[in-house]
Amino acid sequence: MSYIVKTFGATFKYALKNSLRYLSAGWFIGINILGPIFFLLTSWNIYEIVRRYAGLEWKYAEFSNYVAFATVGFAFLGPILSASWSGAEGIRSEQQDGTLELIFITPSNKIAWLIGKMMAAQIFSLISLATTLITGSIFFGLDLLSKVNVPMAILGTTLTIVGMSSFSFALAGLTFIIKRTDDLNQFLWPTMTFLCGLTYPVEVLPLGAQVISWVFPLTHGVNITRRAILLGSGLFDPIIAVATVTILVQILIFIPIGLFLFTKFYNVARKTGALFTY
Amino acid sequence: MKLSKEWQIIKAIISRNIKMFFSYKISVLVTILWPIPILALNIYQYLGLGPSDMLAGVFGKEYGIVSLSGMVIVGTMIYLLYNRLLWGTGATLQSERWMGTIDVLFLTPASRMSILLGNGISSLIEGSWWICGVFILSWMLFGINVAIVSLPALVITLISTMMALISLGVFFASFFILTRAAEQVAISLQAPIRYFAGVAFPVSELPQFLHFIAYILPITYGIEALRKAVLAGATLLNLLGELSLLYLFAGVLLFLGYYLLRIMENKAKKDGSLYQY
Repeated sequence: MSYIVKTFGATFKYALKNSLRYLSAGWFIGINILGPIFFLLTSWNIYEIVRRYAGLEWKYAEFSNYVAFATVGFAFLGPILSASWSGAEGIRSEQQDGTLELIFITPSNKIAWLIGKMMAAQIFSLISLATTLITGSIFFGLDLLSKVNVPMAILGTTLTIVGMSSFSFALAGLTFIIKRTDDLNQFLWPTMTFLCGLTYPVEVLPLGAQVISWVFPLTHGVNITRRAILLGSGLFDPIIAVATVTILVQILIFIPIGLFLFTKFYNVARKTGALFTY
Repeated sequence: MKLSKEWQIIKAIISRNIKMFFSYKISVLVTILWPIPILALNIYQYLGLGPSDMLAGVFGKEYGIVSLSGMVIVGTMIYLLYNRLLWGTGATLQSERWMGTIDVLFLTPASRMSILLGNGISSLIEGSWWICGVFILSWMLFGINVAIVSLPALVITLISTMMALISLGVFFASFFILTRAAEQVAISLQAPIRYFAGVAFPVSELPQFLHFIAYILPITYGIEALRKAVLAGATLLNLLGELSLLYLFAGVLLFLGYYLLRIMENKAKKDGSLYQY
């Protein structure tokens, strides 16, 4: 067990240092963290156009501040990117550095190694999440002081990240076989952003798209966190309760599938000698 | 400078890049698929706020644009082209570094500008595949009412935008020689440029104090010109302002890129940091 923890710790530190070495280009990292804020500004501009020229005021269920609604959604951009991409990126970068084969020859626990990489990537995304929420609070009327149910918001975010990690495991495994999962991720993260109700209620989408959106833990996680932050709701809110149970069930189903696929693809790559090739 | 020799370099680079592009079969398919959800996201951001007929009326009345989805699609396509050309031209030196070929490449007497232009042109060839693919797919999915009055105006606008964006890639290439974080730089610039260039809304709707940022970006003029050509029935005469600025950008950026590339390359050689990553 302690060996697994050591593997996790070493990989986590390595991946974090690897990101931090770009601090020589520190302001670029700053812009990266601020990335979701530009999406938020886009939402604000779009809302202003509709409000000013069409004279429409937005209201959806208990929510009446559109930009605050979108802020909570966009705050999740960083975590989704990291959760869906970090595993595949971890494998891909080792492939490109020519070190993947060496790592996988060692008797270290590969899952612990992968989780270490994924957790390091989440550090920056959590900073991005906090920065986006604070920006929303300063400029767009998101009230972070009076109503927020902090434990519920943290639980919602954590469940989302854990749920989305199953995709990361599967994509990491797929990287052994098809190599260029960065292209696949280019498709996956905007698809999730489009489907999971980050900037508009899922009900706006066509019915087919709504059904697909319920498959993603992100839809339920955003729902939980949004209600916890904007309405101060907790587990006794029926919508949050249903979303929490749904996401827990999804975690129980998706994580083993993700781990299974990772191991399966890893074994296929070993058998076909494709572990090292890129 | 012998033109035939430069053409050989450009041809070799194009041939290599096209082979690399087609060697990853999934990339070929995904490149035309992944912009679709981004387009859908922006279109549904509007549809989440009001009925489509009313919004179409607003855009027709306020901006002379015949299609809301068309506005988002044209903006996104030019933005994607910018991205492709920045990666394909500017950040290409970082790829050479990863592949361990940058010092070998820079030891050859090949003109650096020809190398970069070869990379830019191959990106355009790749780009033309997915520009057509994305346009047809998005047309089928979202429907675009076009108002093209002059086909030459459309073609010339597209070519002028591409030239300005290749020049931007060449300009950035020199910085990518010095930094080891070319990927970080390119990714970091995506979101701000997407916002300031008015990809999802007319750039005139940016707050006044941000206009100066929007108007120092060549991509802004490319988007404005193409929207006018495709969605507002503009002729070449109507587009003279935007097209002149695009050529001005192309000239200035190529000129600066050429000299900066030499300065940065010499600096990296003196520091011995060309190969390091």
